[in-house]
Amino acid sequence: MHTADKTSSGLAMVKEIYKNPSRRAEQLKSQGTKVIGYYCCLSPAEIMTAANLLPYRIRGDVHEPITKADIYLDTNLCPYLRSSFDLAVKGKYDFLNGVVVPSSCSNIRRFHIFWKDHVQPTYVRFLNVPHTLRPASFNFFKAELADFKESLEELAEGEISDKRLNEAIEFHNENRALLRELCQLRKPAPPLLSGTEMLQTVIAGMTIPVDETNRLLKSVIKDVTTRQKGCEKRARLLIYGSVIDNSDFIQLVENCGANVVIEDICFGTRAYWHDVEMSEDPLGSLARYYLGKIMCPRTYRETAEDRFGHIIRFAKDFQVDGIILYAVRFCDSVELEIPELREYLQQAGLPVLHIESDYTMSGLGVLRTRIQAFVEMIQ
Amino acid sequence: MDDKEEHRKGPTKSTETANDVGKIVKRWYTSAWEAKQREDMNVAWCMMSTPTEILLAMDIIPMFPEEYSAACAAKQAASMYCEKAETAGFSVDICSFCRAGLGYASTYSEVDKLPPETPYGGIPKPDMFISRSSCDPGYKWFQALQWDVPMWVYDDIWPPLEADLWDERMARRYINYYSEQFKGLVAFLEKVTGRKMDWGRLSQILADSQEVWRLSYEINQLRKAVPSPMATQDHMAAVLPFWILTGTKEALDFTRRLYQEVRYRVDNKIGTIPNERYRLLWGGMAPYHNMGIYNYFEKLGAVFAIETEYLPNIPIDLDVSNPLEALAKREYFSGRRPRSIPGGSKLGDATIGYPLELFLELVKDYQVDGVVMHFVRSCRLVSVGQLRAKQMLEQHLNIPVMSFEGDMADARVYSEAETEKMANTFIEMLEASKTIKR
Repeated sequence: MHTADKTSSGLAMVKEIYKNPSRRAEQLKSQGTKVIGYYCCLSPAEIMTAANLLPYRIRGDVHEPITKADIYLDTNLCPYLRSSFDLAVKGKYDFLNGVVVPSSCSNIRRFHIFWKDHVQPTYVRFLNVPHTLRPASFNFFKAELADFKESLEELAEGEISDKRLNEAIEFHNENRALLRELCQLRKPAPPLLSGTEMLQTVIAGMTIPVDETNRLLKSVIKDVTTRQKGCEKRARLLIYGSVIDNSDFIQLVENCGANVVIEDICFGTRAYWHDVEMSEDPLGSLARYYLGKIMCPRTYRETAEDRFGHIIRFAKDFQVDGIILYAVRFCDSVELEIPELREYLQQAGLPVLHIESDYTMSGLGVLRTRIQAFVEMIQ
Repeated sequence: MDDKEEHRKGPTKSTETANDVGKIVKRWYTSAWEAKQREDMNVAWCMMSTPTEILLAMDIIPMFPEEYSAACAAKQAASMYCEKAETAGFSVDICSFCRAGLGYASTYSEVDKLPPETPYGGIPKPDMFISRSSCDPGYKWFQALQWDVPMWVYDDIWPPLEADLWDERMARRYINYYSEQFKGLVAFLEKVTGRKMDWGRLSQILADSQEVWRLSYEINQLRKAVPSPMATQDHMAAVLPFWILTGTKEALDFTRRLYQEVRYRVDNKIGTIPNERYRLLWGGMAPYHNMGIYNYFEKLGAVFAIETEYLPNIPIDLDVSNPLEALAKREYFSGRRPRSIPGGSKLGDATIGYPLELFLELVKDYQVDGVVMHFVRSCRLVSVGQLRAKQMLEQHLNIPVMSFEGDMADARVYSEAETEKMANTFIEMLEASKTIKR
């Protein structure tokens, strides 16, 4: 089993926050802080932090049946989005003062309209993110970010100075650096912390203020580096794919006899592998980071090396034995990569298992059998 | 030939001009094959809404695999190509135009010569790809082919539904971005072909395409007449010259002829069917694998007077002497028909998002009795919001709505018998609704 030591204060706190993710946000809201829910790792949390707002990453619930959202949303839409919206119309996101929806993919492009119509928080903001990486794309996106900042200033009733924005960037850079430091502790064989713990830590940190997250991460790193017993030595896996916002899938993989040592997902390295450069033009820096550095397949990159090279590098650095390609149904940008990516990885000598998921934890038996067979094959 | 076979053969169109579309498209394909034989970088595969004027001004023939997938669907070949793509590992949920295109390309790669049954003789391999980002397959599809062909992707990026398109700061930002991208496209084409852009020629081509857009808008205005002079199946065919051949003399000639014919039919009260009892609005993409569905409704006394897809933009003045800026402006306003009227800022997109205001306008202007909505499984871009539109129509307009699940190209997710059964019930409902109103 990959559980935290009972004495691990940081990891214990992570577990607690993971179980009750909205508790701190609700507490802060009752004290007057405005809480802004956001989708995707393309929403610049730094600007929200700089406006003294609490950025809160919106998730779905893989265990909660979708019972209300399908009244409004077409069933051929991303099930993660449908699940998150289902929670929202059921009142589980009532503590949010607003929501930010970036134009990450075709699924989410008009999604803010549904929030506007049926959830009706005070603030609903669509953020247009280009798909290309040319100078004109960055200029366009920087202007979008300026408008976004202006709208947050209005909501927060206060100006966001460049100095304040740079301070927020520093906080979030520290956050990303700490997550990378924690992730490095998965490099040894066996890794010092499990994939389940890592994902729970990432998720927990996206629900509380960034300074608190950073303190929490320092505590987690201390716990992990000093723990007596980490994981057992097993096959080492990388998981690539669509959204995974619940640790149960990672837990399932680890229960099948593997260690998940690195993830290329939006609740994984995509959200913390690079930093925002510090500059006198913080919006320009944010535009370059959010558009240029986040390796989501929704952004057009020309060559296979540009698109997939980092996965091979992860695989080498973390001494990976195999890769799971995890695609949530209707996630067109991931689904369209799969055949070429599989070939690319196999040519590099990496065994690959492709899983197409409906996002929920249904069909566990079949999934477990396939993962077990894969793990046995690569061991 | 029984009724079903007749459907599969294709719909009966109301205008003679629309019947020419197949021949026009075939000629276009032939010209692309001839250009390909010259081996001088002449054929581009593009996504719909690519500013083809730029390509035409550089003697490049634009081919549209999306449109070709629709043509394959009409010839009952798309599902077979989709299966081929699925066998190669592409998910069954991916856009069926894209899957069919991937399947066709895979077939093409395997053989020296395309088999004779290939719909319309096929489309030639491209010398370049032009993709756009308005939907995910729009920029991933050509990449997924893994062909060693140079590619240019541009951002087809729209303001949110609720934005005021006439906000000067916002308009300038989007138009500048499009304009910069089109400059980049010209540079890409010059590099790939080794030829220089002829700017005077581009202005002339743009003037012609503007005339096509103006006429196609006028045709749609004429379609308000009772009885309906031109039905949805004609429109779905006519969009090919409007959209993919825009800028060519052939498109201009076709559109002029269609305008004259529709004008004549209006003046002489010639309808699509002899006894027009119900006027309908078609919501969503066409089921290209079974266009005969329109004729099935006609047998029940119903004609599709108008549709939500491919509605021509309200013409706007463009300075063709500054063609890239003009194209950028057109792109900014395209597909957002009601909002392109000053003061109409809250009306939303024409085909994207299905705002209630669009339906209100169409239902009123085209004297519509009922709405039929085709919920397409595999296109996120068009289908997200269809359910919301249906609810809004029922709640706010109190108008009968029939909705059915299907797909634009993949016949496997469509039940003809079930859809026809629903159509029968829907017409009975319309009749009852008419009786109550009387």
